Amino acid sequence: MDSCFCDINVNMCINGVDLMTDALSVIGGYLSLITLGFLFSWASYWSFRKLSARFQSRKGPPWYQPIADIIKLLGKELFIPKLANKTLYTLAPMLALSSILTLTFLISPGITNWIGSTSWDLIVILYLSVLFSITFIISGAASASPWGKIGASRETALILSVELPFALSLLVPSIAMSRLGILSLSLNDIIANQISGKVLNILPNWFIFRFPFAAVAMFACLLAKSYMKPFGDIPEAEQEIIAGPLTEYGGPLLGIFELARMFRFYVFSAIFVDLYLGGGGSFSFPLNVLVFLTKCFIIVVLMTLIDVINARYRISQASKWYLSTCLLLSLVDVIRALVM
Amino acid sequence: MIDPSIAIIVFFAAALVALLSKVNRIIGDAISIFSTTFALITAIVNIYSSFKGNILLNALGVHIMIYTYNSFLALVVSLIGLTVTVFSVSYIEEGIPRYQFFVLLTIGSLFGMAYSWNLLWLFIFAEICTICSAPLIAHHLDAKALEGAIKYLIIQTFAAIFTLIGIGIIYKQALEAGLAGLARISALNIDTLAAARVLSGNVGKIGVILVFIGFAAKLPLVPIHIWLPDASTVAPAPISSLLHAMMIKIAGIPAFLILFELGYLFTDAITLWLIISVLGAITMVICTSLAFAQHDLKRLLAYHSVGQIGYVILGLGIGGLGMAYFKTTGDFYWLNITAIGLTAGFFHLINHTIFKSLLFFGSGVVEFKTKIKNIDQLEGLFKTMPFTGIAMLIGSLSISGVPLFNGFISKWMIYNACIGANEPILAAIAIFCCALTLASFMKVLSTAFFGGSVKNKNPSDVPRSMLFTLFILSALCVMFGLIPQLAIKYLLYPATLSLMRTLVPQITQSTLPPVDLSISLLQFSGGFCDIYWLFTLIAIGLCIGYVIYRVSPAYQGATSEEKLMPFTGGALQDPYINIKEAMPSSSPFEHSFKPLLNVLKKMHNGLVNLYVSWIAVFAILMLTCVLMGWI
Repeated sequence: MDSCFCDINVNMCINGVDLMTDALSVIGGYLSLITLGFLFSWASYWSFRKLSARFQSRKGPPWYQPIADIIKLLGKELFIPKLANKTLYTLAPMLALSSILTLTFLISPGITNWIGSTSWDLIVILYLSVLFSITFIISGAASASPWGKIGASRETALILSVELPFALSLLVPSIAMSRLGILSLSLNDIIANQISGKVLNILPNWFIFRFPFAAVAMFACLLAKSYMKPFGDIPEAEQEIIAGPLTEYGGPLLGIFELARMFRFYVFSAIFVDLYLGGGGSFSFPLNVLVFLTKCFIIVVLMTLIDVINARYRISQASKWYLSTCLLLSLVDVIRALVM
Repeated sequence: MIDPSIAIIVFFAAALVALLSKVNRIIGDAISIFSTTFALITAIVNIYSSFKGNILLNALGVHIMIYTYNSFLALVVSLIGLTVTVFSVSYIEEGIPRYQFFVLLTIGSLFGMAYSWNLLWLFIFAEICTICSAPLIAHHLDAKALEGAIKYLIIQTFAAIFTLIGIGIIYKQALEAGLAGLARISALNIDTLAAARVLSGNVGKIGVILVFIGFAAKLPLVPIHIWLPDASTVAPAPISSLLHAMMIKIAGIPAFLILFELGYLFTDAITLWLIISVLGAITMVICTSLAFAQHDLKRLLAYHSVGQIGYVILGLGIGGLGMAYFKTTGDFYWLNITAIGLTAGFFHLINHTIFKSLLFFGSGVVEFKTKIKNIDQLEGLFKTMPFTGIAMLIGSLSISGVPLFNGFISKWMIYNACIGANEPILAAIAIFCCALTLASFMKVLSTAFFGGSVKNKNPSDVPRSMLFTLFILSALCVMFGLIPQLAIKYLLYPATLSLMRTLVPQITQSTLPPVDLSISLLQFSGGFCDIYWLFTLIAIGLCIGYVIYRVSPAYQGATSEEKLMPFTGGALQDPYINIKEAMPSSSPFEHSFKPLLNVLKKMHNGLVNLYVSWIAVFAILMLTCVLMGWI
């Protein structure tokens, strides 16, 4: 009988030699993408506000307004309500920032050899995007405000409705690829798969043309995740429940929350562009990132348009819509991907 | 090694001695802790010695091979048995002799099940376990407790009939094929049956499926899961923990084992394992969504444990699926998938054991102190009982699969297995249920633990033995979350391998490339190395947030303004209100999912007639599949 230990060569430790180079490339990539994400989010947050203002015949803020808001908040008085759970109340904004920064790093900026990309990208993206929403729930529950509680309850219902269609439409490209023999959840591979070939001989081989229904479902889910009307801002509906979970927040903690929420413009549009719009295409290095950012910006403008022309719906309508129409759309394409 | 039958005999003897605790309860406490500790030592020693090769025993006329897999199950039993006995020292206040008598018999029979490969012995131990746990469920002796216990007995007995008929069929076929050996009863050893391949035809299939259904009723697989929430709500907390954390798994795992070992019998084993995996996924969705509608803390936990069992079944099902594909295609890739699926399933089994008993003990402490069961009436527990609060927080985060805790690792491996087996929809459902679980526990924590005025101020100390168990279990949760290799390398992977070797004896390092396995076990194959980088990046993000918070000029004023009350717009006198009072009608969540929840609630109406007929319907469906030649 041979020893069992012979087989247990489960090599799970980091190679000592590679550790330094890995650490340098990871930290380098982290810092550069966070800078990129920050600048992009700043630009798109400003254009979001400016565009909405122009659509509503207002003047709109100057270009430095988003960052000026955050800096001002960092200097404001900080208070924590007497009945709040202090630890969670302060932890929630930091957790939100942390999850969105990690997401920013993991999502490939349109290139096919991004170091942050792994073979299990999609699962990590799902996890971290849920974590980002969960911090919102934590903040509402920890602040001991009735508005916060209602907001947290609404947010719970919203993410639960959104999560299933989101997860399904997120996996559609990889299911389609697995039919071609590529078993991967990596965004690198998904972008690479969209570069060559044509759909119907004219259109580029993007997943949006191969699976339009799932793309629509995905876009709708991203709207909810990035707090856009018609459904996304139900948890913080200011005419009904002040600011929902953020009612009690102020000062630096609110500043951190605002910073984290600014990154949503980059992260959620980047997910859509990488998965369905072919990332940066087949261009060489600096150009493909620019193409990617342009596509992201188009998505942001589209989201702004939808946000502006829609009113806010009730939470039960949101659940119903996501769990019927949206789920059906994504299921249609999951089945198409499975049988094609 | 230590002969496991000694440990079983110790248990049964200890049960008799424990009756003496009528004189002095210390006798009972001491003897139960002693016997469970002895069982723990037996399990650990046997795991160590099974690394040198499988052990052959000749116990009671039956040849028994002891694999690492058996010792792994025994370790789960003895570990939770030990925590249950320690917790009970100060928790149980009435009926001590009968309580300890039956607890020891239950743990002893489960320990026996863990080491049994023989169908008859499995059946006997399972029946001892069922009969001895019924008085434990009825421990409080009020009307509801008795009702729960009787329901439990009826359903389990009904399911046991299937097992017995199935065993009879298998025994007859085995003897007819001349498989008698030294002792006739050895013909019922599952590994002997698997190696000799004597079963055949529809009759053999029906026998195996009947045994499967009998044990699957103990492993609460939808649609035969319905007895569990009723039984565990009425039982004392340590018994709920015993029931959920190990009984349903240890007594139910033969259902999986028999299909896995005797898979050669089926014409289309792939379909069979797909059915099992899909049933696991359905179990997950139905029970996790039902958990939302619960207001009783224990009932909520009970529904969640059925949901989590869905994950275990999904993992094991993918393992079986891999093996079925391997048998058809002969591709060694599928052996990797089998290894990942089984390791993931076993890991989730042990993780669920740990965090679910932690949560049940936590709910027990809450009930012990406040005498309130309804979550909506509890508030501010984090302030009155901080240690219990932290333990419940750790348990909730673990069950919801949050990174850094053990539940995350095993769920992660289950997703990997699903995707590796090319079943991404199952992975999507598993991830969705993960979010559902997290949201459900957020509801519990935010209502009962965080915030809130401290109206029912009762901050007296919780007994030490309870705190000790909570501490040990929380530590295990965090430990397996941070260093999962410890469990995977020395416990789960050897157990999986020993089980796979019963079917594919030639599995060695060369046939099962360790590189592929290591990729799937938590390692990213992309540009940067493994999951610890992810944790590091999340930690860096947290630090960035904290630095911004600390360097902001406003930080200094933080404590002075702490006395402010929450803003309510002057609408309310008392700023803190329960979530129920804050809502004009039902909560937004329940309002949104009402139609779905209503249908599910109708299925769980508490009538034992309906529950029994579900088992019958399930049996008929499975047998139809066999007779039509689908599986």
